[in-house]
Amino acid sequence: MREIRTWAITALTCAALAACGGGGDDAPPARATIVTAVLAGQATKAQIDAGTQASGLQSLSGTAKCDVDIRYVLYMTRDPAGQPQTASTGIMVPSGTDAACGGAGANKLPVLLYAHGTTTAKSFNMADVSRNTTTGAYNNAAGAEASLEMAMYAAQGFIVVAPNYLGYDKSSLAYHPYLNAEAQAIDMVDGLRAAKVHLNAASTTKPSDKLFISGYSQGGHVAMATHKIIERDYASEFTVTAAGPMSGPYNLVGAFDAGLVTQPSLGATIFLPLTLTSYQKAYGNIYSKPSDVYQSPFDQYAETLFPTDISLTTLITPPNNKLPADATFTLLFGTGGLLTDSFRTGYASSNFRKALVTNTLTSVTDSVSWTPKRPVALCGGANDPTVLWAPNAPVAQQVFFSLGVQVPAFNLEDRTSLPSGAVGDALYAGFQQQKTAAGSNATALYHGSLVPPFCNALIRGYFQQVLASGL
Amino acid sequence: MRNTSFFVAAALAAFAAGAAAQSHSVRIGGTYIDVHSKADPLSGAPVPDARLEVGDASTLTFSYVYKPDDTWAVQLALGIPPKYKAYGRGFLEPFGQIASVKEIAPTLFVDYRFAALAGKWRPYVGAGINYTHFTDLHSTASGNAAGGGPTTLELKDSWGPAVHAGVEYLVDKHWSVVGTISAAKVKSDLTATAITSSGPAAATTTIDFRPVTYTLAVGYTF
Repeated sequence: MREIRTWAITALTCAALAACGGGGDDAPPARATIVTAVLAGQATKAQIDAGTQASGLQSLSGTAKCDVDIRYVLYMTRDPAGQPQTASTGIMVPSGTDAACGGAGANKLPVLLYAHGTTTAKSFNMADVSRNTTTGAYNNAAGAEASLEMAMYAAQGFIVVAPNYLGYDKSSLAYHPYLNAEAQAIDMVDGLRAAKVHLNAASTTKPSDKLFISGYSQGGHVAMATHKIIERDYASEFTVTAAGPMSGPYNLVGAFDAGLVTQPSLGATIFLPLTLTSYQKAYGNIYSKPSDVYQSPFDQYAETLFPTDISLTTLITPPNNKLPADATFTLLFGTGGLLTDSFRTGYASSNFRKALVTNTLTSVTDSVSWTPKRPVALCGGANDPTVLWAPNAPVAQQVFFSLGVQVPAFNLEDRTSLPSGAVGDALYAGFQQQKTAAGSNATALYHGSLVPPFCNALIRGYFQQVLASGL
Repeated sequence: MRNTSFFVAAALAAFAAGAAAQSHSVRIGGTYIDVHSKADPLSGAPVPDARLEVGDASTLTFSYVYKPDDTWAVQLALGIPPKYKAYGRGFLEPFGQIASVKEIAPTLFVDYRFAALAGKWRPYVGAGINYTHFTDLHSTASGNAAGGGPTTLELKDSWGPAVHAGVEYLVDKHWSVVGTISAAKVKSDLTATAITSSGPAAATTTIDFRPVTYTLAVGYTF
């Protein structure tokens, strides 16, 4: 009997252990785990040159040195709640026998991590370089921005990694963590990691450890946030060679103070729902119910409106009424406006403003700063009606200067801020000429069309200078 | 359901036949469930070759055995609901564990015991019916990412035949040790509905679990 009791106890213990073995769920896949990666397309030098000749960009981009492979990677990252989500990135990879293009794999190429600007288009994909059908002034499909970066960088020997961001393309997240500095930097880092792993496994052209970071508009904020957070959290993995944020709201709270309360900036009725939803999802304390901040009928739609593949033109056209019927996208307050007056009057002490401060990178008024360890150059235009120049680039420059870091801020409206000599002369004159040619459309085209090619040329020149100097 | 009626009838027949030397036993043991699941790629998924595979599980099992004589037995086997993990395969492989589920799976067997071999050993074979009800079914955070948004899962109940074979070692009049291998047909339709940014998206497949279970139990006869 004693043996059988021992037997019984042993069997029961084993069984109990076995039963408890089910335990919790497995940890989710590591950040940057590749879900799928493909070669999505190719562009020859001749095709790129035909494009830049037709658009007039060639005087700034130069003729293409390299053919370009377009690759696409869907990867795992984390959302602001720390949950696993998928996001995707486009990768533009120079190829060819020219040494500047990697010499058929003989030498590794520098990487540009590029952050795109605000888009409402859910299917936005930087690997979709030929898709350039824009419907509505701000509903930019990726083609224009992707082909600009391809011509300016990839065709000149930079590997361009351009994440599409959480919430876009095939991402599993139902919203976009717009202007969330920490969350967007995590997505950018994971996109970069996944891209480098994919290239090392599948591409003849391999990435070097030179890392440049740039981005435009929203992407200017993302680029600076990514630079800051890589130096803070990922220094053992990546070293930023230099960063060149363009036309971005680095002083986010200052930009909203001016662009929300004083004079709504062009695009405000798009930026506000994107930002409000992003911060409500991240912090949960922006409003109790959408009608606290949105006027009727927008309180019914605005929270889940973006990203969407419905064109902005459709959204503002009655009887859809998904956004105020205003093609300048500035009708924030008052009759037919997007937001409630109580939101405006309570803004100064609101949790929304606190969230903006949390995501501000440089501000004098709200005392926000960080110290870049590697070279930075800023670029924009002082007459920008969308992302205002005055509260942003000059303030960042001032904050960095106070910390002992001198940062050029290229202002396309100020010849003295641009590089000296013929190159600076040509860029300044070229920009003024483009504005004149745009005539009465110059304001509407300023942020989205006129500034980007010139700032890309200036920042690329700055990066090439950093590379050449071996800094 | 027709199968159920058949087995209940068979069990009652066995009860009636052996009223002379009847006995009752209870058993408790550890069970390892070796799952060999097969499932077609999820139909309706936005990507090709989105497949899943169910992992193995283990649990504590109990059974009640009625022996009308030394040749026949009727056995009802139950267990603490084991937890199964489902893993992505094909396109879904990088997502790792995408779901988990518990099952309540009572199985009723009629056994033929080779009593003629005598001694202390009682090899037996049996056939019966398995009913499986799935519970605590959920998509993991990684499964939600794979689905394109928060995902709810539904698995239909399964009825199927089951067979087993084992050997009982009679330690004394009351105690015994029993080892059993069993297999059952457990097949269920899975519906996964993800709330994506563009609305609900459902994908379906049928999972054939094909479990083989190994049990070591201690029995007490009274």
